[in-house]
Amino acid sequence: MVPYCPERILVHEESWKDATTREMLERLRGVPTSTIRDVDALLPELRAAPEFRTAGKRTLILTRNLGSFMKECPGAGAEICCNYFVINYALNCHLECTYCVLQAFLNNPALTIYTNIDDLMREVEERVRRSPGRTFRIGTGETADSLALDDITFYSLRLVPFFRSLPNAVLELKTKSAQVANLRALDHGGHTIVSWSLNPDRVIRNEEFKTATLGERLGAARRCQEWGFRVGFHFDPLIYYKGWERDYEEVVRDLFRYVDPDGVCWISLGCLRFTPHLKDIVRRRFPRSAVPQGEFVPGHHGKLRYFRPVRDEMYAKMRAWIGENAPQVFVYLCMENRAVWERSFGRAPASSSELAEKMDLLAGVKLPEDS
Amino acid sequence: MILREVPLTVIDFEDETYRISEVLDLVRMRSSLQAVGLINPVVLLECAAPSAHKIVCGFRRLHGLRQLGRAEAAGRLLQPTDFSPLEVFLKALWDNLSHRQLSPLEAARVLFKLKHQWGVEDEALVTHFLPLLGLSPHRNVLHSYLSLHRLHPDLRSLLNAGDLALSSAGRLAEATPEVQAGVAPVLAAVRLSANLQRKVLELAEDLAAISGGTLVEVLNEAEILEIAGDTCLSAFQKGEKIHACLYRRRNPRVSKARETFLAEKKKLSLPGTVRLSPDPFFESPRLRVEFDVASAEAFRETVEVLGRTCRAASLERLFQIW
Repeated sequence: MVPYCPERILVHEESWKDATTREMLERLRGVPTSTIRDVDALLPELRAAPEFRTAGKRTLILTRNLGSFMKECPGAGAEICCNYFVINYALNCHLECTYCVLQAFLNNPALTIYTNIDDLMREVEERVRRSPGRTFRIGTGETADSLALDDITFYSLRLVPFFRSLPNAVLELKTKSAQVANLRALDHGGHTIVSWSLNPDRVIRNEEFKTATLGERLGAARRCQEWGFRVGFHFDPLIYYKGWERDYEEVVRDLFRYVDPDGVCWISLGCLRFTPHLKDIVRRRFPRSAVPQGEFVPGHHGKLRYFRPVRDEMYAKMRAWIGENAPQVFVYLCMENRAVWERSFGRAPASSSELAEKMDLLAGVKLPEDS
Repeated sequence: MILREVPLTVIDFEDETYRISEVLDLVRMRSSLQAVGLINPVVLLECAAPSAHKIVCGFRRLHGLRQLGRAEAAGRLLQPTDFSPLEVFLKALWDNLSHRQLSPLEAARVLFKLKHQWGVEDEALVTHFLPLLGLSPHRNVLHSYLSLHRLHPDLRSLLNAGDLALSSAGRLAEATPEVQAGVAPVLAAVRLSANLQRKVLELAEDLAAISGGTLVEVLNEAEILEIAGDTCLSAFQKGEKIHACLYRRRNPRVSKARETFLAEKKKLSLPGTVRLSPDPFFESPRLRVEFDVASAEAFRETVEVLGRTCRAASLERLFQIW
């Protein structure tokens, strides 16, 4: 993985009150830093360059999130959804995956890290403690990679022990990096799952430019297992191209050469999906990308996705390969409809609740008996 | 400002520093000049060099007078010492805006000159000049209009004639001059709505990216040229047929599924009053069945036909496509 190194840092005046700000600046010593009063006022400047999506990331903004940190995963509107929650500690990612939805989703092209991590934890604690009878699976990988910035934020050192203290919650750190050094000595108490998004090396080389190689990701997963963490894997996005079967089958074989299947919590599958606007951005920013070349049809929320028989085939084959190597591992589909589940897996969960309950069980959180 | 009769020989017709008009050769302008002569004086920037007065306002009138063989024109002469070049250009702009709506290409020319010739900042262009031109004050609007300045002359003509949508023009303006020149003849041969034009260009771009070729190669393949040159088809029919052809090539699986569905549906020999429609992209096996009847008798007949259809083998196959 190419580490993130900004060319300048803009600190919101309120963020100087947070110890995390000073700690991050210490780790980024030498980078020109200035104080700002209004992040929105910077937008015209940040969006002025023709390639502002690339140039913008060279600016790191340290600011406070004044809104809510925790929300339902955007998949919640799908016909079958695992009822996941996300918390956003940062906005944007420097890893430059061609298909990244953040390109079309974020208004501010800079990389923003929220410094009021205490507020984040307070909000999560209040929300989770309000429903003691419910399990919360919560990830930090929606608007940023969970670990790619951990050498700057060191937030894993705060979040992992924090989740250990929450009896009914589990944290999932989703990453395409191999940056797990901070996790080594942490007391996670089984409340943190570290997971990797996986793709064949060919896709990583051509579409996930600054991420860790497949070998590095799997090596990091093995280390995490050795440190007692349970791990997860997400084949998302699955990308269709001529010869995909050979490459993906090899990834599945490699995966179980590196990791012990008994320590794998779950594996998700999700075919590439993106908005028409994102397709235009990808074409412009990454003209050599093969991502927009698939046969897409409009689907859930107007997103483009592969024609259904292509998805059926990819899911069915992936599940079969995983089953051959690790029959005990639970595999699920992300943001798919019932019919696709049935055609590719032979059966679908009766409801989102059934899927969520299964995953809660796999998350291994023990709820109080009287709840 | 001095008003006097100015010989056309002292005007520099090649200089376009202050030009805003896209089309200079207007038949109607010539007719008007021929009928009643020049009503409003033109505005010129006086220059000391011979034959070097620059045209500020009145490009079309002066070109018309020259074509009619006139020797002089009534003109107001601005002194270069009295105004900055930007102030002179703003006079031309306001003069144009006072009596007509600028075309997209003219608005593009104004913005391009303000930015590149007179150094006006983007912020001022967005907040001040875009609204002045009747455009939304957004940076992407500015970017689109500035890109129009790179449009190939053949595409400019199509845009002016209303045969090229503004959004498509903006898209094509990003391409190289060779690509623009290669695409123009195909677009000139067909008629497409703005929406279909966008779809055709998107499909062609996708196919070019997949094949590693260019947009021009895709739009100049034999099948496309054959449609474009088919004299039995109207320009609209050509446009639709080209779109269908590109869609089929870009989406072979979806197209094949649709063709199979239609073939199986045909085998059912249902009357025209009964419509069977699948999910548009075969996401689900749902089939919509509709029929229109105008009497109880027609109702009974239709239901009987549908009853017979229940036993047809093709009915099962309609659901197997899915």
